[in-house]
Amino acid sequence: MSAAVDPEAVTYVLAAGNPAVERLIAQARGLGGPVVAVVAGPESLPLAVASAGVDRVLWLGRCWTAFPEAEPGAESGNSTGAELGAGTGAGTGELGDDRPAEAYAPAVADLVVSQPGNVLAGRGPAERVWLGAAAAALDAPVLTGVAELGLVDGQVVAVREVGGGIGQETVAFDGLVCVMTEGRRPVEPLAGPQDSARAEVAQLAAGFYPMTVLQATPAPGPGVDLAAAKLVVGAGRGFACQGDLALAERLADAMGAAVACSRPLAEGLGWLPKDRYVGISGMQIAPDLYLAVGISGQLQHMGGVRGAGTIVAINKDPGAPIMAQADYVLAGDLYELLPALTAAVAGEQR
Amino acid sequence: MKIAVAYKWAADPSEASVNADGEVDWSRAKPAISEYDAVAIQVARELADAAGSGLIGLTAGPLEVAAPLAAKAALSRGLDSLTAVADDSLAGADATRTGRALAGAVQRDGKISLVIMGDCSVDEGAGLVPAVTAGWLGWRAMLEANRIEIDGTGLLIERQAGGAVEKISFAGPAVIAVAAGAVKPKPPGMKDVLAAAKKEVIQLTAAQVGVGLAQGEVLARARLETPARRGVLVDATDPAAAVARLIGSLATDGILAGGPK
Ligand SMILES: Cc1cc2nc3c(=O)[nH]c(=O)nc-3n(C[C@H](O)[C@H](O)[C@H](O)COP(=O)(O)OP(=O)(O)OC[C@H]3O[C@@H](n4cnc5c(N)ncnc54)[C@H](O)[C@@H]3O)c2cc1C
Repeated sequence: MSAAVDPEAVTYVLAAGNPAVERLIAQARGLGGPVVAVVAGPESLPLAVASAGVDRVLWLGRCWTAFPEAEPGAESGNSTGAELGAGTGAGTGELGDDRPAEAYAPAVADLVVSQPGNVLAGRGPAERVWLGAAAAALDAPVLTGVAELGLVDGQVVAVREVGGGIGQETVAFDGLVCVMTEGRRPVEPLAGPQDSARAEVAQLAAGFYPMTVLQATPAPGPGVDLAAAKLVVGAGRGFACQGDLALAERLADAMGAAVACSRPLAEGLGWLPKDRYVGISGMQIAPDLYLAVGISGQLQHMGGVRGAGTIVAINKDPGAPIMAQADYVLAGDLYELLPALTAAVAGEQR
Repeated sequence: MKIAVAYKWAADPSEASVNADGEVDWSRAKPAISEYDAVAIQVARELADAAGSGLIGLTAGPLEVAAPLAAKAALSRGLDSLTAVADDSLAGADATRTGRALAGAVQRDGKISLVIMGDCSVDEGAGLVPAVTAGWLGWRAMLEANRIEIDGTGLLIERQAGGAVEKISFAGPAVIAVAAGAVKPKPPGMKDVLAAAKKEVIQLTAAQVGVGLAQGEVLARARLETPARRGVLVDATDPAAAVARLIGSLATDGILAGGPK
């Protein structure tokens, strides 16, 4: 099939309206050649990415982004999630600020075909759309769960997880690959601009699909930085109703912990925002303490807390899978144990 | 607008095991309609009904995906017909080849202009097939949609991403992935199961839809050990005593400030 990968070939890292590319850059460096960031977003975004340690930045154009980091100090518009102008026609809003990043998928496909290279992206919805466009354009395999990535004798070699994390494979590829890095960590703020280390930013005359973000409303509630939290209380379906989550909030307040949850609470029930659920398709966190309350411990959830220092499980079912995956196990009713724990923690601090 | 919905006939990895050499053994894991694909099928059915359109099911995988048991499981959820790219060369296919197979089936049909998919499959969980399929088709793609509305010739999508709820509008052929919690899927009833047996199933090979060969050579395998946890049982009969013991242990471990009283 395709010839060996040119060690000088570029590696693309995709930043579709989200400036958090550090983890991608670290993996991209394993492949040798220059690292080129492909960016859509307001003008400040390619500049921020240019200081993140890439060799070159290609700016496709403006797009709507919900990430406040994209426009530090912006007074209005995007970062406040105000209603956007409907534009004069689909996707033709003057500056493109009302265009979803997904609209640039054909530009990404054209780019990787005109100058072939390996492609790396995160798990955000727009990043995945771009990665899919690149994979199809290159007819390149898509790799996920990649722990290590390197170039050995002109072949891309990846170590990746298989079978939901029970096994690991080392695989060699003759041609280019597209890699999705797992997890959807909260956006880590970029280090302040260091002009000396700032890569060149070039604007590309990019094609896009006419698409319009008509309206964007910020999700209610303050943002919580789960990735940075040392102590995390995870709430699951063991809570009977949304109001009962106050028990978890009170405990978290007393401990100085952040509240996370299992996927059904964020998607389906909608009790907490989507960026609070932990697991293979959500946040992957490594706090010192993860206190799982009313969570059964399914593989998809536990994949998000494998790196936790200590896991405590509170569950009324002694046979729940989590009970075999915890350091401390309390088989009991959360409605009795949480108030007692909150009172005891608060008492300790006095 | 002719509507299709794609799903995966997949096994749950929590039922898989791994041998000492790191080879994953799926033999005891029974495949089914992947959990979130049932959500997509229901959303697609409601859309098709609202649009007065039929609903074509699409799937790709090894031969077993077209077996009567698998086909009926999908058809009974409200599909009008099924097109299955069923070929043993697609066992364990990555998103690029699966996407090629699904796109090929869409192109053969020639009239489909909207493909609905689920959030991610239970076995791979990567959520990339909708994006790659759109890439192969040269169509628009939007993921994590909570609501889809057909608005004249265009689509109105509502989704939560990056801390905001967004309403997005566009026209043109598209692949839309539905958020995991968009609807609560209803299990099929007896009537649906009986009707499923009479519905049309078209079976295609990988070659018929232009799927290339699998790439990559496995050099080594290993079994991954999850870090052993201590599994200390704290008797919870008396909540106050239980939490005091827990706090004491966590303090001794240096995780919580303070210590046993
Ligand atoms: C492709 C795919 C990806 C997924 N990705 C994720 C992911 O990233 N993250 C994630 O979390 N899930 C994910 N899931 C879902 C996952 O499989 C489980 O369904 C989910 O994690 C279960 O959530 P839960 O533990 O809160 O609920 P349940 O499994 O219903 O468990 C509730 C637990 O609460 C206990 N309980 C009930 N009442 C009480 C009480 N009064 N006191 C104490 N305990 C009580 C019960 O004994 C039970 O163990 C995914 C699923 C699929 C198919």
